[in-house]
Amino acid sequence: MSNNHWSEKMDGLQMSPSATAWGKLEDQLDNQEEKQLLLAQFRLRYRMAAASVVLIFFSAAFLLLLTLSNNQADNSKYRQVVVEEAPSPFSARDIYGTSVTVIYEGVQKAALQPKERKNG
Amino acid sequence: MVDQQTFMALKKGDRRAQKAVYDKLSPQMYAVCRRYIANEQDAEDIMIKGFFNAFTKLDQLDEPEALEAWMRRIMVNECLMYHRRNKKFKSTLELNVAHEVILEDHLLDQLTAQEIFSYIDELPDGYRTVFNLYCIEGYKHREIADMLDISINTSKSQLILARKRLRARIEAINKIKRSNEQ
Repeated sequence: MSNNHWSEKMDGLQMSPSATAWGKLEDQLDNQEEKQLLLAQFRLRYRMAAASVVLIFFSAAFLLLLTLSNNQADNSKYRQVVVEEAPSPFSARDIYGTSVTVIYEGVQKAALQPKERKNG
Repeated sequence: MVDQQTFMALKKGDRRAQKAVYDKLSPQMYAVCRRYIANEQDAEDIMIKGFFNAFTKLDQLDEPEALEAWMRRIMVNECLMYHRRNKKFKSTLELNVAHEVILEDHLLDQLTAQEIFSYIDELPDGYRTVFNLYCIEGYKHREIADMLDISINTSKSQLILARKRLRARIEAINKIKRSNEQ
């Protein structure tokens, strides 16, 4: 008996499934699509949440490093540099109407003169 | 055969392409399932499951020419899984496999596919499954034994018994036909 003989005969056999079969298959395919959509949404949310956590972690780490590096010694240096490199645009003459030397001499004279006591 | 355009649409999950392929192949696939499963409702459920698996795993297939054979293999596998789930092969009887039964071609030639199907349909699940796999799908006993998780001798025994029953059935029908003619 040849196997091909059976195969050839039976390959041509066709039988109709019930009319509701396609509807059942379509329902299963629709459910699968919904599941895939939900899965895709879940994956997207999970990735966004993970990215947010990573971002928050690195931001916190950056702020911490910035705070630790911003100590007292560095601050004083910073202030000194600012004072030295950014002098006031106004001179003593602009402010007091006279030079620094004159002011200094006036202060010295005032210090040498005896103080006047106010009466009662 | 499914054309390239329909095949590409099918891969994208297009519902109209799926319906077209279902309409074209479902009679053949349902017949394959019915050959393995006697219960019509169960056979239809298996066919639906087979189509669902095929439509959702089409990325594994590259050539539209292979679609029909690929789907047929999916259907056969689904039917075998159904039998394994229902433990249809637990109480199988091993015979002396030396007694090969010959089912002559001339007996077969007189029958239509529908008649052969009706005789196969009368066989018990174990006989029918092994007969389908060996005589129609063309698998070897070793492959059948692996697929059904049975011994090679059990597979051979089931085939012998199936052939014996088919031969007796065909001869009985022929006898009735001859007596009617006289």
